[in-house]
Amino acid sequence: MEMFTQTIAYGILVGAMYGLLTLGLGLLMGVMKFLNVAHGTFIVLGGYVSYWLFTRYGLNPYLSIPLVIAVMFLVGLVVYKVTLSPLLKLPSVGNRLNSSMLITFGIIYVVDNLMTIFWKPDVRSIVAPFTGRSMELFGTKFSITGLCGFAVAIVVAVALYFVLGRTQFGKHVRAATQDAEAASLCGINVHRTYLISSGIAIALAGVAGVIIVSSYSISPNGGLRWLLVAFVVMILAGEGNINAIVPAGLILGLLEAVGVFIIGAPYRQVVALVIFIVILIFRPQGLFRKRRLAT
Amino acid sequence: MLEVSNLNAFYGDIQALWNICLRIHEGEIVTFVGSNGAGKSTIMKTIAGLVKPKDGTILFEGIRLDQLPAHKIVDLGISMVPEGRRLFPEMTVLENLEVGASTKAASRIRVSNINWTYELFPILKERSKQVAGTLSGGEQQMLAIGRALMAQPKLLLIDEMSLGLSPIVVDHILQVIQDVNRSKKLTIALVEQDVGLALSIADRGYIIEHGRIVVEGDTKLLQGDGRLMEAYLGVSLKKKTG
Repeated sequence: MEMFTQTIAYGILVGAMYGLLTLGLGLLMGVMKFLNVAHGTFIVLGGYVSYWLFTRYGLNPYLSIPLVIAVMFLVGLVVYKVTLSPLLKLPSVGNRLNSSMLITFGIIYVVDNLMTIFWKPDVRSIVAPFTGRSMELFGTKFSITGLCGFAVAIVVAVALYFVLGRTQFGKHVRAATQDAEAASLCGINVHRTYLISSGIAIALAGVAGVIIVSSYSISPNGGLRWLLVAFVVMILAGEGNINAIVPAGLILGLLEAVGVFIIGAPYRQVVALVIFIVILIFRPQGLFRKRRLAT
Repeated sequence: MLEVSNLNAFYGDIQALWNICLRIHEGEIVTFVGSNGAGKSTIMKTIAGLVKPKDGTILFEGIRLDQLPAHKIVDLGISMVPEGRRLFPEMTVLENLEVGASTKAASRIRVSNINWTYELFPILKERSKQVAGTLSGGEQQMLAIGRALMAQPKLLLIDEMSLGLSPIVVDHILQVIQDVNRSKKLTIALVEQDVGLALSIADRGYIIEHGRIVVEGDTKLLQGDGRLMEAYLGVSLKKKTG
């Protein structure tokens, strides 16, 4: 029994991180229909920024988050301006989606190699005084880094929910998501809304990178692993359903943990991919959404 | 107020507008009528900045609009109610109205404008927390007009107002539009399929055919000319009076 509660606890912590690392991917996809396959690469880049601040200046990784957000936000602006915004001229949303996939695939190579030049191809992780320590809550052990990751995930998700749901900017984003042309007729500068959303999306990837470099490890070409997780979570939540991403991450984390508990650790990714396929076959609109009404 | 000269616009290789020249004067209601695909809506979209003309100029209060993006044109005081309403279906009625006031000037007086819109269309107040996609067609059209008014326009463009609505709803909405035109001196341009309706409320009309303006004039004169009505609009006088 104790093993099982331990498994559940682990699943919750990992699941929150899964949710966090999907938010940026879901935002770009939901708002602009850009499928950013370089999402994992930007997660790794965010991890390196934090790693660098830690090794150079001894900055606690969780305290480095505001700086990582600032840096990655700027990266997001550049990525949008240089590579993604030209795609908006394409005639259909489908074209946009396909082309964004190809372009961001190219970005993987560029950024991967730049990271290899700057930080060498070694596997890196932040080893701080609290790394590997754990504390007991309700008779169950939680790792400190896991708990911190959980807290960051919840704070970031709530902040994003607030920004999109309550602020004027969030209303502009949602309006542009639902009908970009009608939004421009309301006086909304849709390009500017997209630009800032891209900055936020890449900054969110960066935050996830901080959590990953503190709890796991990163290497220049290690983004693919996290991209796959983010895909599964995004499909579970339902494309465009940003508020469901963290709950979907928790579900994946729990299912994975239980799966590993039953059939063994080597099958961790198999569990995720089986879920991925099952959802795509039976509930392509995601777990949380009714089938879209015809309009 | 608005002056369009020698406007040519294309959809791909197909020319949709040929040498369009027109004027809209302050305070009037103007209508563009003509058959399906004649280019009425394209004229409106070009004024609103959704279609970029190949050549020609659009001047609004002395400022050239033809190369400005749509959101800047809203800033200058032109709002459009697009064909098919184009509401934000997953946002509430209130949120749709709030988004309508996205320009700096409009957002300052957002609250009073929302109350004004609720006075014009009391049903929207009842529905304010409801998601726009669940409204009836008439309510959606009211919301689309309300949303456009939230931007505090000087010129309101309405594309296919009556399409798919019951006559009672259309009458109600027209009544409101005419009231606003009179009380706020709001200039209005209407694109309508229902020719009789359009000519009955507008001061002046343009008849559009194959992307060209073929006739323009006072709606009284247009209505009085039976041959004209039959030739361009397929409206026989008997039908209209009956």
